[in-house]
Amino acid sequence: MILVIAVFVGLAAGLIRARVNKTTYRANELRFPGLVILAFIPQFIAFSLPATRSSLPDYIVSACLSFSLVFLLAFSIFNIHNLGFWPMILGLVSNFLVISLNGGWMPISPEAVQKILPNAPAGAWSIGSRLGTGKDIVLALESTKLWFLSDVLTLPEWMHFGLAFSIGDVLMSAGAVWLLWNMGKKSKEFSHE
Amino acid sequence: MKSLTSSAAFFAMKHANTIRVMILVFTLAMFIFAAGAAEATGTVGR
Repeated sequence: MILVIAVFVGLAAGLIRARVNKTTYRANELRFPGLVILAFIPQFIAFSLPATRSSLPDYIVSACLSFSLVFLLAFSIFNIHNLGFWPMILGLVSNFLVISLNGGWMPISPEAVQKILPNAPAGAWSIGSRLGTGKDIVLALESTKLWFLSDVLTLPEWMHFGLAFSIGDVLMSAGAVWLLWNMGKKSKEFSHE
Repeated sequence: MKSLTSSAAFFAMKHANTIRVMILVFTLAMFIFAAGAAEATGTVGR
């Protein structure tokens, strides 16, 4: 959910930019937005819906995640003409790659889990098991393929918020902010593109 | 019925840009939510 904040930060920045430029905040045309809904539904069932998220077997959840990422990749390719999508595509490919190479789950290191869950009771998580009902699996760095693309980044301690994320997440957030910021630029700049 | 349809069409035309922006923001939010794989304290073991 924290990544969605990037969308709202970009939206706010873009709206302010449009107001300063005395122009209309204009949306870029998206091709096949329905693909995102098709990608979102299986993830909503697998990770968010209380009735299903803890009852579905892990292999089905993992398949839902991979299936969903394929649709998102297709959507990204259809919208590659939009420059703001480039960092998002890079981030998506990065997450997709590390998830695919590690059994259909996003790896998270035990060190990162300890940072985001310092007070977790004994047995709340273990190496080789899925972390809660999310997309992550706890794996030691040495047994993680492409570990640098996994959830190895965490927020600094002074922020008092436990969050582990990947380089892919950073790229996608940056892409979303950039895309929304650019929608507030002057009409002349639009016509030059 | 005819006036209802024309009112709806007028509303859609007047607010077309706002509707387009809302669809884009909604689509982007769903994209980021589905493509991202960040793990936060509150989402573990829900």
